[in-house]
Amino acid sequence: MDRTSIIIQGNSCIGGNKASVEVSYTGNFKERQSFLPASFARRSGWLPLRLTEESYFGWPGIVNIAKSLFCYIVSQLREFSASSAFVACKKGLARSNLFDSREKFDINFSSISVNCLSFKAMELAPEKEQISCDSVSGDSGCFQLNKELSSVDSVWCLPDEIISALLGHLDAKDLISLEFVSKRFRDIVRSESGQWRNIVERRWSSSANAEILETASLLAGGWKRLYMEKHLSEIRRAPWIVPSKSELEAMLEIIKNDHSAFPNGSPVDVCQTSDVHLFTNQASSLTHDNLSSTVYRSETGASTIADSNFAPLSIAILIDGSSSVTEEDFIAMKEFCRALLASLRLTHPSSQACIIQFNQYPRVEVGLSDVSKPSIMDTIEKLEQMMGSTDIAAPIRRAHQVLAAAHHNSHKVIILMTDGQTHAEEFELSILEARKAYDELNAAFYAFGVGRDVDEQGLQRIVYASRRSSSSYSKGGYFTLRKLRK
Amino acid sequence: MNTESKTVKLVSSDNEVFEVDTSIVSLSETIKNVLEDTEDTESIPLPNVEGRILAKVIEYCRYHSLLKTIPQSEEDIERWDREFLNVDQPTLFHLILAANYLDIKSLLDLTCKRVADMIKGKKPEEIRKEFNIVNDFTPEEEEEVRRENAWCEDP
Repeated sequence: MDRTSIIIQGNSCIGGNKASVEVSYTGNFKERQSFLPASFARRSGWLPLRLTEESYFGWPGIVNIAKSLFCYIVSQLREFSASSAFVACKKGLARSNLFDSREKFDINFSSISVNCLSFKAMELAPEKEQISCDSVSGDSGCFQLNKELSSVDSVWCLPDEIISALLGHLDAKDLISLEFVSKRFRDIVRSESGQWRNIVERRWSSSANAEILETASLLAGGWKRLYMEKHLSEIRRAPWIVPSKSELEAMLEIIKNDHSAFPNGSPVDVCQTSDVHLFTNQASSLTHDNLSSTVYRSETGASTIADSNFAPLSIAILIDGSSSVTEEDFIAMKEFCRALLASLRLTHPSSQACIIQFNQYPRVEVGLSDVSKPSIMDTIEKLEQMMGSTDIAAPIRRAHQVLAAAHHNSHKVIILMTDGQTHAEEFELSILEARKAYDELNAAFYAFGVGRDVDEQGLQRIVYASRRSSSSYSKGGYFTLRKLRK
Repeated sequence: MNTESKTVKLVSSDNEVFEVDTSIVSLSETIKNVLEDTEDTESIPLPNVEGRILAKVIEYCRYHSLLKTIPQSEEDIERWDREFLNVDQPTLFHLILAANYLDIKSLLDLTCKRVADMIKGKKPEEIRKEFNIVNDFTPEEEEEVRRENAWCEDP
């Protein structure tokens, strides 16, 4: 009775990095025992021939190797046994677990063996081998052959999958340290964007604008880059929390593409630029060029069709000019306004915008006009803060009126930038106004919180309460533009 | 299937036989599935786990299944787990592989966390030393990694 088994050891998660193929043949070679070296003779009735192949081309390759090796071995067996087993084992033996109970091939992908030890080394240290070949339960029994080798004595021998799993317990700094350790670790860390995602979410999920992290990561070119961006931005802008460049871009994307599924121009693959442009408060930072350099790489290509596919936007931008808003806050709002218009010019050139500054009264700074008009930017640049108290409901109502005159095909968006410092009844009125704008114009309502003491909860309430108003899922959202880190 | 008070024989790679309560080893998804799939399984060969590791795994399973009936404080469990993992590196790595193979999530988490703790807060050189890893970067490659991570102050 012949018994044959092929065992492929390795681990699928290792991605074909290393695997060993073992072939054994038992059966009617008992009579040939005498030809074998002493170490083989010990295994009465056994003639294991194990060839170890290192494979770097994935599982199909390994399986093919196994098949061809097996055919080869069977045909060559007599020769093998007659000559020296050293030949067979010369390639190096790995830890082996042979497990065969039936007369059939048994392909087993479950165990791992990485460290190869030469046959010679094993001969030198025979006490390390524990060779057993017991028939556990008769004919259908389970043969086991074991070599206790130091194959998993190093972290190196853990499959990639497990190393990836343990990355989950590390933070950013450790991941980066690991990248420096060796090529394999670098590759594992790099391929694990999920770990960076966890790290970003762990650090910022309860922070501002958590809901746009996903979009921002796409725009940033991966979670690691987003982490880097936010990390640096946080250090640079401390104690203020401002959106990083990708987050800002994500906000713009969301506003612009609200009516379609994001992303319209899907973000490009990771671009390997080492220098990072960060969104800074300075007027120079958010120019066309800056914006187009990364995000719109794909979108510029699609921008010609983007505009014909999607109706233009009609945007009303409401800027809080009351006294509670500081100069820096006001600059931040103007910056965002400029970034939004610049981005619209690029992707939705036929869009229209109007700019309303408000304290207790709304004042239309720029009536609804084409975003491509150069005068808009100038007006924003020169915008002076009005000071005074705050009324949020009135500018929303005003925006509603302005947008009502806009092209009926366009998508209406109201953007409110404020510190939300106002009375409670003001919020209730604002909710009603935002709701009305949605019901009548289908206008999406976005609120942007700015300032040291920004009433984020109040603003969020306006957004979400106005969302609940209709049966269909209303658009809009709340974002933090600038706030103090608590 | 009534898995209560039934026992099963686990056979390690070096043919050590462990007779254990099925309720205990059901912590292992792998074994649980085998037990569910095949009625009246008497012994389960585990060719990927050697005896001394299997003994540790069973020790872990026994303690953690006991917790279901005799609850312990979080601290006590933590202390036990820490004591349990007070082993040399090869054993730890074998345990990880066994936990992975036997699909015992909590043990895999625990052991992975242990390894992560060994990495935490270390500089690359220290990590290499800790795990006996050879730096196989060429100077150019190392420079590239350095450049990419220049934003992080001192890795």
